[in-house]
Amino acid sequence: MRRRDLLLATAVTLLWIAPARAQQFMLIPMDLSQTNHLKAYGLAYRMLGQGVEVEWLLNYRGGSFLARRGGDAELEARVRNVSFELVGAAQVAEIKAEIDRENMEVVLLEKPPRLAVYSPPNAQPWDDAVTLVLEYAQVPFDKVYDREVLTGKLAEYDWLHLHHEDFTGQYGKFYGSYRFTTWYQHDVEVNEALAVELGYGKVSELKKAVARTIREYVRNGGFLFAMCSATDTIDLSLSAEGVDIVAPEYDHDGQTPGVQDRLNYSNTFAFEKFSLELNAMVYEFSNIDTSNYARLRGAEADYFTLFSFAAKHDPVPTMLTQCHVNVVNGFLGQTTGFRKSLVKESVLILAEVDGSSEVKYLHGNLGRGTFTFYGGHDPEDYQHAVGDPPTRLELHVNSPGYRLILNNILFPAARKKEQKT
Amino acid sequence: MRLATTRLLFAAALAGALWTTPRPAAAQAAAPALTPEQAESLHQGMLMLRNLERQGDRAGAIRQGEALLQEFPNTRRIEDALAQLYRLEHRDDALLDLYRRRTQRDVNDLESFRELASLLLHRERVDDAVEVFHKMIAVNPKDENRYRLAASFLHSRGQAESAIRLYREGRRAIGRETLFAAELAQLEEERNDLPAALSEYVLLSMNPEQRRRATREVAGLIERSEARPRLLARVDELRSRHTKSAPVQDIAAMAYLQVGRYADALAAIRDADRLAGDQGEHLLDFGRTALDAGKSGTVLDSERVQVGVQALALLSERHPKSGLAPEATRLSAEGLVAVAREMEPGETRTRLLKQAVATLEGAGGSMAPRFETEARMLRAMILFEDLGDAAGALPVFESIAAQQREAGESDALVMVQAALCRAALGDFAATRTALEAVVGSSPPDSVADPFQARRKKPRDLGAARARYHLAELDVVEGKFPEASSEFAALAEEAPEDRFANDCLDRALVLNEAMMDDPAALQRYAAMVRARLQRNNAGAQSELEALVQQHRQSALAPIALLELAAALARDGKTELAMQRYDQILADHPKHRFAPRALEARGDLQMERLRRPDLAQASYERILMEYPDDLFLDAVRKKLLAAREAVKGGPHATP
Repeated sequence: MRRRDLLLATAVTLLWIAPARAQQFMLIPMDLSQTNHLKAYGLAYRMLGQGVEVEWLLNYRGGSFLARRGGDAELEARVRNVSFELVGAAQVAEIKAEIDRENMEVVLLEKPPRLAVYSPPNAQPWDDAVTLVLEYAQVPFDKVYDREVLTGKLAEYDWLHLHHEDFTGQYGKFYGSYRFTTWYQHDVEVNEALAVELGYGKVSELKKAVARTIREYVRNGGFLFAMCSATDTIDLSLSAEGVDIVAPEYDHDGQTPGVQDRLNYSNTFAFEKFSLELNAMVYEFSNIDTSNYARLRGAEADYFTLFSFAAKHDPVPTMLTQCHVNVVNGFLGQTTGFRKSLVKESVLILAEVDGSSEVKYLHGNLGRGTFTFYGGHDPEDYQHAVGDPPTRLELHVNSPGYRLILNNILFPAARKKEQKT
Repeated sequence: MRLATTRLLFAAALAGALWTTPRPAAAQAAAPALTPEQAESLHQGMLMLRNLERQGDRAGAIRQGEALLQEFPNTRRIEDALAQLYRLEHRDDALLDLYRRRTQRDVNDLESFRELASLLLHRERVDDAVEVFHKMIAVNPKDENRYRLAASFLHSRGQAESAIRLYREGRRAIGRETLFAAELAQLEEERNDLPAALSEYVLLSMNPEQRRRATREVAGLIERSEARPRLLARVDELRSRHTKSAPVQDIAAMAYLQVGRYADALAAIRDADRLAGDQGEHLLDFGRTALDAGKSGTVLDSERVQVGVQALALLSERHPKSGLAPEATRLSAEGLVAVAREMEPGETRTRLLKQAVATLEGAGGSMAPRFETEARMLRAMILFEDLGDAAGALPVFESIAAQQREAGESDALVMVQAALCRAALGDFAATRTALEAVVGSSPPDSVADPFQARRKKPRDLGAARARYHLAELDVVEGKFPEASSEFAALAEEAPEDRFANDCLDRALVLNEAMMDDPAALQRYAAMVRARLQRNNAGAQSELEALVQQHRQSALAPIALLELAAALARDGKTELAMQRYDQILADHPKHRFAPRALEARGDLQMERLRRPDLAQASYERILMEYPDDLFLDAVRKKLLAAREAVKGGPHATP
């Protein structure tokens, strides 16, 4: 009798313990059930930093994350209001079986990439969407500028972000409207002083050197993510090796005669055969940008569509396009989108405006590294003007537009898998 | 073809000349107009210069530039290119000559003056740099912007002394005593001459638009300074020297307030008010500052609060017709109440509350009707909620309600308060009648218009509170099913907030308890009765009995929760914590458990000043009760606790 009671008690205890022990994994879904998509990336990044291996389940429930339970991940998830599910080994096996059957893939994220944001030391009267979302998601990053780039500090980072920058040395082409403002004049002063300090006769020459260094950084294996005007201006700068494309209002000397015919497109990342806007009074750099078309559509009708990729064969573009929706609200920027006919054939288009020739999001390889360009300034501020207050991300915790930015910070952490074909 | 190319090149050169950044008129006049051939020649010359530079032959480029300049003297494009080359080649002398020539040629070329000064400073020729700025200023010595440009530039290059001298010269030359006061104050503070900085802030305060800023800066200066005695000595000196200056007395008052010399602060602000001859602005600002700091600091400073109250009382006394008097009265009363509520129950607490009531009474009749109503409402609430004087509060509530009815405004919330006064006096029948009157007089929700129903007007809120208390009366009278239904109905109708949650809890508790020992329900009813009568001791004793004698009852958790809250209100923090812990130990899965944890965390944070313990309590809620309805509020509290912990061991937020 006693033995039977003991066996019964043991069985009951085991049955009671078993369910708790069986939930060995933490699944962070990224579909519409997720309470805070943006902080979920930050949580995944944090777990990587603590040495926890995180699996990115591409196309599974919006690109979910899976990791073993442990540490304070669950507490942090609750503090950050990131929803998660505890699953057991059996459920994980089912999930992986589904992934095998469907257009899905498992990518192992190994260690958190070291992030750098190219940002000038003088305050600008606009905000950088990438730094905003990194801060909101609690992902650490360092700031670098020309001095650090030219002294080789980029080698310390896996990932570099460029935002509303002007690598042509024309101060964002704000001359027409803002040349009498204090911030603009201060910007000119700071950049001219820096150019001299670093041994360059003109700001445009300095910026060319920076652009070249960034290109070498990517060629040597770095990951580059650029938004807004950094996307086209870096290519403009790279194409203008040996010629002067800068209006005299900026550098007090003339542009090279016939400069348009002397551009070298083989130096650029993503664009070719573009035409420059040489007039200092025009707030535009070239015909790459499609802002005018977007403005004609207006905020209510401006969307872009993410392309689908074969997760098993093209994990990289799949990672970059993970989202819980396929159609995303558009947003303007100094460079809003890219004219399709000017995008190099070797570059992969990740998203475009349906029925148009406007590319919103693209990706390419250069040497051992990669670059991703994303048009527009702030995914949750349709038209961010100079002096506008920063976007409050706590009001946009499920923003698809911001998710695309965060896909880029995790993608460098992925272990490269051999191609299946 | 050649002609076309030449024409094209000429057009390009002309366009280049036309698009050059606009320069001051004098500079443009210095360079003569070019013929087309000259423009072409200049353009070619510049191209050659740039090519040489690109090839790395800077010396050649300089020679080319200098030759061009001889051919085309005073041409800015050439000078700019040469300036860059001289910089790269570190040919400072040539650079100096170039900018000297420019400044001699055009006295309005401020940029060149600045460049010249920068070069001289770089060579540590400070006096020469200052001389350059003097020349710039001499062109128009009444232009304050020139002084600002020069001084701020010198300051940015580490020449604070020179900058200060320049500002003072400007002040003398332009003849405005208060000019550049803010800049000079900052500079003096940077070089640690705090008394001088203080003097400048005093000057700044002479400008009525800058008065508040000046007093704020002085308070900040004193707070930051390690040489407080020296600063205060200067304040004393200024005060005794400028006995007829309201700004000086005002600044002195704020400075004394900052360091706790309250008697001196009061005396100084009295003088400031007397000298200012205004409507009492100085007194109001002083009072507000004293009260804000006294209430929000880590250590309660009731003496400081009293100083603030005295200053505000002075405003009402000296400026009875001032538009600021109602605000002063309100601030005084609120300040006293805030301090009193932080205290343990006792004589001092009661005295402060009575002082608040007296302040509000004293202001009656001198205010505009709107302010008078607010003051009376505040007085009635203090009498009832804090002093427990239902008999004193009831007529005040009733008169306010009558006044509101006459004005066609909603009186529901005030009538509810009046009804609660009657309950406190033991007249439950009259209480019921009054509450039913409130409910009966509110319009029904318009079901047809969901937007209308969602908009909560004051009358609706009053009706909801009235129904809540009617349900409590049902409990007192033993009508438990009716009470439960009413609480459930309220929970259904109210938005998802703490009120709805409270109603739901009561409905559920009563439902569950109706299946229990009836004695427990009777005790609960007795507790509600005691609470309505404001008999806190009686309510506590019923709760204690419930907890002891009916541990298994469905009422035990709510009894523990209410007992803990009552103990906390009475200042018995440790006992309250024990009761919260008892809920967690005895009823860990009850819906009150996260509330107990939250309340415990709040006590740890606010009463015990232990953010580390509060953090642990809040984290437990997130981990153990992930489906709790109020996690957003808990998260905010957790983040505040974490910040406080970061501030230092047991740091207070």
